[in-house]
Amino acid sequence: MAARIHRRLLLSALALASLTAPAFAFDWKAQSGQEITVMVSENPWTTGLRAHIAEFEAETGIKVTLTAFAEDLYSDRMNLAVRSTESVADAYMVQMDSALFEQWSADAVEPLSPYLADTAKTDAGYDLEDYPAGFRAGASFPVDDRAAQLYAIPISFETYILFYNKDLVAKYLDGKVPATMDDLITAAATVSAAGEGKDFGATMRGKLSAELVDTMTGIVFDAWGGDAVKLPENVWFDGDWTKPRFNDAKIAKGLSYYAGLLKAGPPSVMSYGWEDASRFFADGHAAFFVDASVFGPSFESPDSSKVAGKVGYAPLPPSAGDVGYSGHWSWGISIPKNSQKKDAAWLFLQWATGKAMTNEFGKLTGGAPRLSSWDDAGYKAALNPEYVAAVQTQMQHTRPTSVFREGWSEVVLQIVDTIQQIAGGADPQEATNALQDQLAGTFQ
Amino acid sequence: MKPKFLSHLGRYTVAITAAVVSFFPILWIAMIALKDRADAFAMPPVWLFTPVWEHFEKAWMTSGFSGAFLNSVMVCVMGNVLAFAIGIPAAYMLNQRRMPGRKAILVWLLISYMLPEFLFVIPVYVLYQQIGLYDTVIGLAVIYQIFTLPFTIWLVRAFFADVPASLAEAARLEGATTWQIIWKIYVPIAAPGLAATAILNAIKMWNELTIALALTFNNAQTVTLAVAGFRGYASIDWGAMSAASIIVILPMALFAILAQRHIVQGLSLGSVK
Amino acid sequence: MQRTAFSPYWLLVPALTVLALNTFYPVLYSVYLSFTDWNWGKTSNFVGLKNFITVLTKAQYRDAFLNTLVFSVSAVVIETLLGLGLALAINGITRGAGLIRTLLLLPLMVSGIAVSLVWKVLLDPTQGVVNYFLSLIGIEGPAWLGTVPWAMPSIIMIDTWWQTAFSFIILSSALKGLPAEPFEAARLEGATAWQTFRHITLPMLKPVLITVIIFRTVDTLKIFDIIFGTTGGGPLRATEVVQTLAYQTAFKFHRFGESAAISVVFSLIILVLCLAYLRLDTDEKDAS
Repeated sequence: MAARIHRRLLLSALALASLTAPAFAFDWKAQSGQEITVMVSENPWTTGLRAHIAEFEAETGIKVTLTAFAEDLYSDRMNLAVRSTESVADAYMVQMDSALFEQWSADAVEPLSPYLADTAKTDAGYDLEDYPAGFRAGASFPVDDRAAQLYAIPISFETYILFYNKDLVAKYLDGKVPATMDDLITAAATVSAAGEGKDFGATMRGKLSAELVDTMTGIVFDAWGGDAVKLPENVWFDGDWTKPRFNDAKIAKGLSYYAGLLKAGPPSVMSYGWEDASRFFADGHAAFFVDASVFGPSFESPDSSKVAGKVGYAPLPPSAGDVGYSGHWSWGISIPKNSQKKDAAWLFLQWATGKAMTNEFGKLTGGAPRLSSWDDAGYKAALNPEYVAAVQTQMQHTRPTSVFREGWSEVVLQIVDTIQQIAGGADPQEATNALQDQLAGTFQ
Repeated sequence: MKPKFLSHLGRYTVAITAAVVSFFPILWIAMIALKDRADAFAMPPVWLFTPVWEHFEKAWMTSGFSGAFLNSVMVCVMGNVLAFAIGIPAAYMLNQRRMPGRKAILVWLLISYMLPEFLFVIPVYVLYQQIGLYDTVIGLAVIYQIFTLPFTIWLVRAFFADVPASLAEAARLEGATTWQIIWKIYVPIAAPGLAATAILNAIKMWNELTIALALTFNNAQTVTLAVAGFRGYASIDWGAMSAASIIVILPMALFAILAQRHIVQGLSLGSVK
Repeated sequence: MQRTAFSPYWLLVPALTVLALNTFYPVLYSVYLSFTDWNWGKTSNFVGLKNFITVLTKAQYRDAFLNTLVFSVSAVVIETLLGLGLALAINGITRGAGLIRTLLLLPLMVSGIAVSLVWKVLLDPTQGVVNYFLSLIGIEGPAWLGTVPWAMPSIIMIDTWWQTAFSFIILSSALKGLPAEPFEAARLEGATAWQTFRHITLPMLKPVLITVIIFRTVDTLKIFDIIFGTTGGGPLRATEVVQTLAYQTAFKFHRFGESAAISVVFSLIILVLCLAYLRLDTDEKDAS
């Protein structure tokens, strides 16, 4: 009897020890009592964060003020906040593209590598290698430098895929999903021609905005095919800022694909932002939608979508060969240099980008950036299996859409002008020649 | 008799058409807010539906929304108080025709009103950060004087012009100071006009976007910004966003209903001199 | 009587102080910025007149200034005429005038962001109710905001819906305040409605009309919210205006110096216009 009790005590003591062991290794309470402000953009990731933030507060004793904002206005405010002399926020969501690059050039963002290297500050189980090398490289500056440091951690990535409305594809195209990009453009035009002004072949973002850069670049990558592309200039330059190639035949082709989809879109597609384009698809009026994978989960929710359960997902159809290339882009999270509470902020980053939360938030964004999430049964079960298959296939053939150069978004607007011209009937080669001439003097 | 009847018919046709055109888009937002997502954008429109109230509840309960609503109310009150406290004496002075420099000051006021937002938001942002007015309701009320003060002085001056000078003369003979004359004689007489001015000021401050975006963050966020916040990426909530828009219109609409008579009466006092 | 000689200038001091703080500092700061290439980062060099040369020579800027002018002139003319017409029509109404005025005032209460939201939905060719109504009477509606020829007219139409109430309310107040005697005299002399309007109402309304036109001109030149919220300046820059350009240049391209130069040039243009209007106002007063 006594031996038994003794054994039980021993067991529970062991259990207790194993439960508390990690706490000895890493002290999550190190910054207890601090208050931090986290600045985020309204996004499915943010929805997830709101639901779990109390867990972080309980675990660390750090109080978090979340301040969220609509995406288009968020960028302006965030750019002001990180550049100002006074501290405004301690951690913030940042677009892992030229936005992060420009903040790095302005010396406004804190390098994260020193925190990651410090075992007193970073839990041993964090596993940075779990993020694809390309994602990490996209947030490391200077670009292509051995001494480069990491400035942001990805929180939600998206890749540009083909969404299709199964009912409309069955009705107008005998259920045949286009196998090549050219087929897709033809099929979209077919649907619009037969749709009697009610059903359309495609819906896309067409509004003049730098926001559509990533979708557009993804489609250009599809036309570009397998040839290598180098950062920071990306596909638009022949490996050097002095060699722009906006009128390369393959780029012209890529832009004409985008224009072809716009042409098959509803009449006011040129005023559509993502909210209009995705609503049009969710209401069941468009056969195809090429855009960010992150729209997937909202299309499957009957509250916001009339096409739930009827959406097909596919990687971008190839323009030549067997592989359809696309782009990827990601939101990241960083610490501004002007923060006074960087250690507490780092604990927040660590928690929010750890494996458990990455899986949780990923269920809402459909774009968990950790490789391990895509092997996680719980994560996969929360998403549509066709969606998971399409994104996983596409992920093997994507490139980052970023161009690391100040003022890049002005060039993007000029590319959008060119797409709008092509959609309006201009010859793709002539239109891109004009774009090339227009931009020739801009780069040194 | 007949032409009069026809003219009346004409007037009513014009008035009712205009009223319907004005009201319809607002009704439409309200209908999106009250419909479920499936009906909201259906075409042809769904005219008969069971109203869904949850969007309103959701909009109001969304974190930060009610706070932003309160901030906006405070900005409107403080902005108006400031504009009147400073603007009424100035308007009185600028109403004195023989005052030297009067014309220059009036032009200066107009310049202040016409400054484009992007000319001053960056300098003011930098300044506010240094002096602690960034992200405060007071800071916003102060910078809004850039347009409320000129507008207030401009209108109040016109109302004061209608107050008979003999009243002021009489009071002065009885020993009243200028300060007393302003507050005891001019202000009460021009009260309806002041009310109208306050309302027009409030509308402008309530709906202002650019300056509030640059100069507030978490504590002083205004309601216009909060409405824009429903536009989350890949997750826009049309119902809640429309409901929020209606909630934001409500206080101003209530203002319009209660005050439209005063606005017209008030403005008519000072309009023609 | 000595007391009237005392001029209490100190009554102006608070207003002038606030006015000075709110205008001098930002204007001087921006003028300074407009001579630099500041990007809110490491770069800030004096670049002389470079930004101004860009603003004055680049075709894109010229187009944006022209678009702004087209928008402003159209919107001011339409809104003033419509506001005046409505004020005249409703002035003669007794029953239900309050309700009608309230309904007419409502659009003014809506913020630019909400206005953009609702009009984008209303004008959507496939999902919107405007083209649906047009189709009921056999008209195929245009694609409104989505096409080059219709985009600017659509924006003008939206602004007309939004802001006509401003002209309307001030002009109807003015009409109410007009003295009755001249109208009585005209009636006795047998003047037609048009003659009465042309020779009595219009001249008496002129000062108010000028005030309305000045404020609306300034407001429309500074148009931003509803373009930002609907077309973003497209399609093909058909609706790009000075303020959207100033915004993009500063907040999207981080060329704060160039953006400041746009605003400085723009302010000067508005100023000249305002002074010209004020001139009109004074001439009238001196003549009468």
